[in-house]
Amino acid sequence: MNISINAQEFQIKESISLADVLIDYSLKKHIKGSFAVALNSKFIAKGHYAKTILNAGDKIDIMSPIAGG
Amino acid sequence: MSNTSLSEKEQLRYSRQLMLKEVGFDGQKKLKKAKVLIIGVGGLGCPAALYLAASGIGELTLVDADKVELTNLQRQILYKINYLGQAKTLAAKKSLASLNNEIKINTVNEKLTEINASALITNADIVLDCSDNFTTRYLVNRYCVRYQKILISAAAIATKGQLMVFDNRQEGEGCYQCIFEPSTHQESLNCETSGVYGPLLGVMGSMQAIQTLNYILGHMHLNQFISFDALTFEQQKISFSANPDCCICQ
Repeated sequence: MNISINAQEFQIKESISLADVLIDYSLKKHIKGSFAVALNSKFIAKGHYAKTILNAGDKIDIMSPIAGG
Repeated sequence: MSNTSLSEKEQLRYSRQLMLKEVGFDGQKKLKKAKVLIIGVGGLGCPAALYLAASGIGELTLVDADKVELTNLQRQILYKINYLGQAKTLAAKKSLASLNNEIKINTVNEKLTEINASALITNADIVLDCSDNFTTRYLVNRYCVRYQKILISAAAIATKGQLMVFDNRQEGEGCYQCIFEPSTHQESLNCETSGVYGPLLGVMGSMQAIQTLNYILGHMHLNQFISFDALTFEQQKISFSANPDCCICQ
């Protein structure tokens, strides 16, 4: 099934958790430090990543904090 | 400067917002009574302070330890070439006072620290985080949660901006640290290391000023996260609730 991460389409297996997808993605993109994750425009607390099962068409946004001002 | 009425001059100065049903006479008096603390008078703090001063916020307090440098002038729109080398807070006060001489402007020519944070934050109705580093951002968040102050935070780097609003008057509704946990691996990207689109800071700082007015006037009472992309002009609104594991607000 297809999902999007930061507006990019990805194909993933059925009934995979948000935690698994994030491990994969952050390794691929070399994301260091903390980041926030929104699923369909709603932030998901880190403690809920593992029990959040993804559905086809889900839209994930991974956001890093910005310090500049 | 009476806090309970508006002089004829003030009525004329603010006439274009007094005619709005969202502001009106009562709203303008609320703005006049309000105390807003601006932490950092750089790219975000300059436009935010300009609009808040122009709108008639009764008392602005500016906190910054830096001096005006030539590299600031690309985006920090309160400063002029003849302010180089001057303390930012004092230079900003000069610009703001010449825009609006009906308001009070306090300057604190220091970094925000554990020592001065309590006094500064308890004295404010609303706190604007316009800083340029994570240490200050986590410090501001912690004290705003502790003293239940509304925190309107923005950040920008390169062509991307974030706006976050935390209404800490309600306990446990979520804070900056619920969204972004501190990390020792955090890359400390700031305008100095990564560059930034000048007008993007104008957009983000103005958003902070708008939300400040919204809160004072009672048009806003929710937490909010917005990301803005200056290249695509896409704005994304993300809703959030508290992280049950947050060690600051839970």
